[in-house]
Amino acid sequence: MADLTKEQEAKILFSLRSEASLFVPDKLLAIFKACQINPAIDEKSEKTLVAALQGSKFTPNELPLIEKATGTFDPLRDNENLTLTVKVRNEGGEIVPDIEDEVYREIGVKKHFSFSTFLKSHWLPLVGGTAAVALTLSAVAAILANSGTSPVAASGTYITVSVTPASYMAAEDTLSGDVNNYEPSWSFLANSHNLVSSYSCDNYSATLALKNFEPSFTSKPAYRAVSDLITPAHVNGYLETKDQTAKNVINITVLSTDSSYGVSYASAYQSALDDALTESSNKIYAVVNFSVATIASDYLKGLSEDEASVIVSLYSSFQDLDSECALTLDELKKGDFAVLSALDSAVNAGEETKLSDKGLIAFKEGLSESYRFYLDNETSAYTAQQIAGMRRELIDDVASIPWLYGGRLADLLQNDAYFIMGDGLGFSQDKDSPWYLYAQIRDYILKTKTASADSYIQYLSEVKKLADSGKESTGYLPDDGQEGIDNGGHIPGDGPNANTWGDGGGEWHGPED
Amino acid sequence: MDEEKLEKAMSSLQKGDGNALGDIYTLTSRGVFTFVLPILRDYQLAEDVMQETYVTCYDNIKSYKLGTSARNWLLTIAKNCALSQLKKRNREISYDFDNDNHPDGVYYLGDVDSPTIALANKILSEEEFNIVMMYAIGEYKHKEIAEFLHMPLGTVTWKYASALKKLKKALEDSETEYERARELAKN
Repeated sequence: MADLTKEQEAKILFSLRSEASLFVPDKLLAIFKACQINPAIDEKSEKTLVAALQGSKFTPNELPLIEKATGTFDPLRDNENLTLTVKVRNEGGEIVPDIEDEVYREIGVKKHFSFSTFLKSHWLPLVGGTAAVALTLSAVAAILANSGTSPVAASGTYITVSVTPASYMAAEDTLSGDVNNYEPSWSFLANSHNLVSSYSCDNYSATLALKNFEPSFTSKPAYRAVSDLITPAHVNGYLETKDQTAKNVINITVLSTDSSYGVSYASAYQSALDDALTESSNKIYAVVNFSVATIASDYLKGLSEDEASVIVSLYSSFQDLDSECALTLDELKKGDFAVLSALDSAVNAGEETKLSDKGLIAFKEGLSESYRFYLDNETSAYTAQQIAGMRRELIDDVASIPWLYGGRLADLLQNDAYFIMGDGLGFSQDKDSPWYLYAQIRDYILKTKTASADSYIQYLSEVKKLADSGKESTGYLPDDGQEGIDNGGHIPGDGPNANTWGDGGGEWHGPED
Repeated sequence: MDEEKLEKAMSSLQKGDGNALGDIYTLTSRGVFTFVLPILRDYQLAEDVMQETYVTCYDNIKSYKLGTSARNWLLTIAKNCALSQLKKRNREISYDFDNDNHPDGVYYLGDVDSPTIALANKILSEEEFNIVMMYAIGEYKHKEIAEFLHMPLGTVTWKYASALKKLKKALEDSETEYERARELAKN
């Protein structure tokens, strides 16, 4: 920059940056609204916020928090501006005696930390009554229709339970070795008498959480089945007793044809869970979120019970994918029963094998994509010869592949089933990236294998076989290992041995709140 | 340090802490906005795309691989959102003969509020404007810009330097013009 001095450069940059504060729009609140995020803050910050707004304990470090919570947050405003705004507020605070409740009301922050956002990370977003929820509800209505000839009087309940360990909830550094960042999840199907007819583990951690226990859930009341998860989950370290102030979280999400399910059973759930949490060998502290939604229609009317069961099972299995990847009921209804059954078996095998959450998502993405290829009869633009060349290239470059599994990878890349993993594992549009190459080969394989129902079923059985083989060893499906596959062996903590430790119990958030 | 904060916020969001999206926004919104604006050349549309980018980030946070570049991941989303908006807009424009939008290549910027940015937009090529904005406002390093735009580092620094020279000259010219206008007004 011969004819542009450092000073001149700095001057221009300064002008551009100063103008940027007016130039770049602030869309944060609109984004929060679109994502249905309640700008909630944790209890400690909440106290700080209230104190600051009351003018008693203000320090400049609290400014961004205050601005954010009051909705006047502007990431581009300078600190001087912020200081002035809060100073004005503080001076006003001197003549306001006690505004705590008013502050809470005005800023919309709940007195207790809201865990509603956690529901979003599970298979069903109940908050807000979205179309997806409506479809799920009606899908479940169909599975519960136990008469093939008259599916109108459907009745029954679908329950999902997930557990978040206390250390994971409390951790600032979630990747630290002391943190158990695995969240087991289970599903139960119960009949009109609320007795469990079937259950499944929704991820590998759920299987590990039941290790050394052989609980029998069938024919038990659903609330009892749910409470029976507590002890195994505690012993296996997914419900922790290390720090009394850091609570575990248990989310129970219920879909039922019974519109009074919440009223009828919430107290039974609360009581059963409280018993299990305060049992002398447990003494676990947990926040329990109990949500109930009522099933309204019979979307899958006319299908046999088996067909409806498989469709609902698949539909719910894919709900943790993003909306573009999640299969819809309409799509699932188009498939042959044999294909759907094979797909369901493959999904279940993936849910039970050694995969991280990210690995499981990628696995389901690949399955979802393959099913769409099958429905749309998609063909690849590549030739077999081109793909063979690309595959050789990928294998030759095996050392640069992120999910390297020692010497086994070159062999595994010869297995078509290995290419089931979708973009969730890694994605690149850079043609030099192994991810890009991998995706081209994957698309070709999936399109070829889904050319007919028979070849697709055969491929799904190979995928299932590969997933099954991962249950007993290190895992044969690609998984980047960054988040790590759960290896069990979590320590629950010996908090209850301390004199100061209480009885444990649940902080209930639900219909009987 | 910002990268650590960003990574931490991404991790929190993956865990379901929706509020972490606010931190991600704070750390990256300038970069995202100044990146999509030159692609779209429409301020209003860029605003919409910025919002869509963070909503998409929120919806797809699980597919983000921790430890990779969160900024680049966000920019990839932003680029895809912008391109899809562009396609949509082009379709709409081709059917709407009465549309009186600004012609391609020109978009409204508040000349009074941001004269330097408006001038930069007027005189720089799309690529130059993009690089300067990413560097000046988005606070990306030249190396990061090169990586994301798939350009050699040398090309990015060269284009950046050349853009600033053009901008300096344009600023001087506009100052001279202003002085001349003042003289004329006096006389």
